[in-house]
Amino acid sequence: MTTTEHHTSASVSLTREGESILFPSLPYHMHDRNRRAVHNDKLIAAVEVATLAKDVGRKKIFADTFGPRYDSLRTLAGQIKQHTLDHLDHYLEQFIDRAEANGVRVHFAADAREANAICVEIAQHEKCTACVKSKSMVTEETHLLPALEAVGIETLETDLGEFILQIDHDVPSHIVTPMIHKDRYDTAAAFQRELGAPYTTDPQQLTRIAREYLRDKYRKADLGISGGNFLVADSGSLVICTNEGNATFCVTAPRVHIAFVGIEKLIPSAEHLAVFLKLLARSSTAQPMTIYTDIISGPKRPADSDGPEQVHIILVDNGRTKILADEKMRETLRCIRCGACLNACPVYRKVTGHSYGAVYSGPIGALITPMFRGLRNYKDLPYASSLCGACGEACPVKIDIPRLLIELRSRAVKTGLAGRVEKLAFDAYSASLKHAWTYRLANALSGPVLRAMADHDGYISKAPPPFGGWTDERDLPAPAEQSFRGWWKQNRRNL
Amino acid sequence: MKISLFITCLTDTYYPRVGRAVVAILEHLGHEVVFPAGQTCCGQPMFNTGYHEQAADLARRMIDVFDDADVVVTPSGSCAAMIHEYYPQLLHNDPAYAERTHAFIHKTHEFVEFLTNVEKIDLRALRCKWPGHVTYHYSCHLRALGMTDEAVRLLQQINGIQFTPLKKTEQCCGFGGTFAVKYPEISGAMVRDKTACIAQTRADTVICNDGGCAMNIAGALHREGSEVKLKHLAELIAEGLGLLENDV
Amino acid sequence: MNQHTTRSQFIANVRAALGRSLPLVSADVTPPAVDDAVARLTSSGDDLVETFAARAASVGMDVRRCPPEALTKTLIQLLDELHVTKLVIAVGSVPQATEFSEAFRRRNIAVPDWRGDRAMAADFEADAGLTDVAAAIAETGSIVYRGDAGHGRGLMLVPPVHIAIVRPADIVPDLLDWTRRIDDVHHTQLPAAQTIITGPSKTADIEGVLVTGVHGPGKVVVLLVNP
Repeated sequence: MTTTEHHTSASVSLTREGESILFPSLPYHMHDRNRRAVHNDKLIAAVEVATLAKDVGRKKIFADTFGPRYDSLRTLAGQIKQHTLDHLDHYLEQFIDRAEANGVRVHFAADAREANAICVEIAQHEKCTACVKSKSMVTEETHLLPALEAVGIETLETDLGEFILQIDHDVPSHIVTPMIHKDRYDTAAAFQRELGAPYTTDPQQLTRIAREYLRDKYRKADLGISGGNFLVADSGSLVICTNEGNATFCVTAPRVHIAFVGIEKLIPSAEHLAVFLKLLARSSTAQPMTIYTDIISGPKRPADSDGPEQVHIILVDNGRTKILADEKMRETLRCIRCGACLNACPVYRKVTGHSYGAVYSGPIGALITPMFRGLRNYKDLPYASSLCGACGEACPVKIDIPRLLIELRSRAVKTGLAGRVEKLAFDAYSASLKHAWTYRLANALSGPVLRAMADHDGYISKAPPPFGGWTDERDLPAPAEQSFRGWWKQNRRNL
Repeated sequence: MKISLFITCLTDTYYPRVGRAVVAILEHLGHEVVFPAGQTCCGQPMFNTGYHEQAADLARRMIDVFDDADVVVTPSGSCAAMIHEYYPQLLHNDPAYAERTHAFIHKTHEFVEFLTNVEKIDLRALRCKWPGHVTYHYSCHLRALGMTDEAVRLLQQINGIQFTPLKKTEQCCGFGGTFAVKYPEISGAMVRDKTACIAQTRADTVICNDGGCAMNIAGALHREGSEVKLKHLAELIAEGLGLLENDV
Repeated sequence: MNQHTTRSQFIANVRAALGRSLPLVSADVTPPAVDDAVARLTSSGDDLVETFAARAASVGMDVRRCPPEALTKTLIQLLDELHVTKLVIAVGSVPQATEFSEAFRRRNIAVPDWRGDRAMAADFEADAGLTDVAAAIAETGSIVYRGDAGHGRGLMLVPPVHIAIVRPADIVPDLLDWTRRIDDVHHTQLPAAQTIITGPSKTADIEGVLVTGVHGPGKVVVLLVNP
């Protein structure tokens, strides 16, 4: 197999128009990508199959195990996370003390730039040149790979999906299943082109090719980078969950390990860890547990044969304290990145991950992206929901996603982001509902106009603004000839 | 008992027959039905779009209008959910209303929930009969009310009916109020998914107990030239009990 | 190193976000209790061996059983069946060491010493890794591997096959029971690495098709030694 160098220049991934997929120019507008996605039948079919299977699987595995206790378990998990967030300074101090006592070096990054800088400095100080990396949303957030490439540290993603995305110059579109938008043919072509591998579309063989290629990389790497699913304050441990075992490799083979972890990953003790492990994989992929759950409590002990000589944990803020300070939105930091809300969301199924124009997509992304990167920049996102509630029902830590989407909408209204025209319309609409007579009058005036536009079945096929969007997609029923109120008045006395 | 009907703005304007069916059924069950004339809208469209002051004004109005009512029944799941789920949040800072909000929530029932949980109706005993092939659309806002298959259980009590469940039954139809207008491309894709599932059942009637979902699904069915009729469960039951002419 | 945010600045930001300026008194911070009635799935009253065996099988591990006296014979048969010619063994995982080494020698099974090599060269050459376990969890069918001087981390990760010897005494009912053990150990005594393993390495990244043996072993054999 030939080793090509250009796969290291991944993360430049652009849309057809040359715009960065996850870091578009701001303010970001969703519609162009939405329109393209909803008509991409192959993409939508693939994403629907994958998300529906996981959503159905999640419900089944919880019904089969916890049954009626599922709701109480989610409540408990939500309470644990909320408690930890409400006392985060305390738990962070405890974690840092314990982790340092375990021999871990803890670093503090206020933002993405600082997190990457710390990582690069450690790598350069330790003279690392080859890096293997497991999947981490935080490093997507901080855009780490270009920073490592800039100083000549060859970095390879090792999660199979992330690896395929990297060599194909693409970016993830789902928190858990990053290449949900790609298929075996995309993979086969990329492996042939970028790795010089023989063309095959068999997932088994494709995986085999990746295995052999990456084994060599693991052996040569002197730096391993990972994220972290949980930080246990009481024991100072880093917990990483994967199915492939790639994180286990990344935190075992290279001599230096660096973990990027958001501060919201703290939990008080190992007993609490059990609660989250019971929820995470079931919510994510309908498994009882991820295959590998690594609990790392320091660098290799002197007598140990293998394991990293140094373990660094970079605690990343990068906007999290801003969310923490926002009492209404604080609960979004409970998120354990299981992806269940994405899998449950009918909107995600129709527009898919890249339409959200950010690292975090789906319902949780529609909440935290505007919080991280500005509501002004991502005001489309909180409205991209029918508020059906499937996300809130799926959330293992009971983040009230629909309610918080509405909260962000109300902030858009309060700060004028929703626009003057809409505000005038809603003021007028609300005013018409303040009295029964104004309501009747409004209906008496609009009814005949709308009925005149309708066909003989009572449907309008081309409505005037602002309802033009409605009739672009489906017909609009016209008001009935006689309202219920009218009928009641005619047939009953008490009106 | 004396039941106050909250008809909701969409049912009043677009689906008056649903209101007539509800009145007929409740009266058939021996209740007195009144219609407080001051009612307009629960404020859901304002609330969901982020206009919370306007929504709070309408919430206060609702509580005032139904102040004297013992029991309030509404044929729309999303309006009932608005009251149950969000009125406390809207009015918790209003000392004049905070307590009354809870009383209002306590006495307000979605129609199907009322039939099954309060009335504990048995349509077999009432000899409800409706010949036809139906499927059922689960409105998302029933989630907020903790409702699952109540309507299906009622359907299965109807003599002569053929019921085929909808695939992806828990997937939203794409209405979402202003969502349907702000994001027609997504909403349209969602409702076409729903009508495709409806067509797959080969049912001739789809039962839908929410005004918003009804406008969306019926509008999409009509655009597609589908022959499938859309009905509220109240209409079906009223027809089955001979209280309303079957208009199919 | 350049000047970066310090611990105290970092914590001060978090504290300010929470609307406080002073640290909390530790004794006043009590996390929610984990109620077993809510979170427990398996209890000590259940048949732990059978529950563990059934769940381990359901997550894709190959569960074999033998009585203690037949361990050598069963293991040798297993190695034959898997065509193992090079085996890395965790210290203390098989009790009758001389009996084993004799059997291995007769069959030309090389048992290289992996200790002291951070690069895990022996693990990369081996056909299988043979280990005992620190614990097994009936609830999920998991085994827990504890990396230490006698237990190289590469043994359970690098070779294509991992053979884990599990004894009834290793089995705890529920994840809760195992994690509570961690809470009981003083943190400085914790091993540097513990891995809960719940099946063979797997992925479904390519079109949701399940493939095993992505990075870790494609086969995990649980050899349940039960009288």
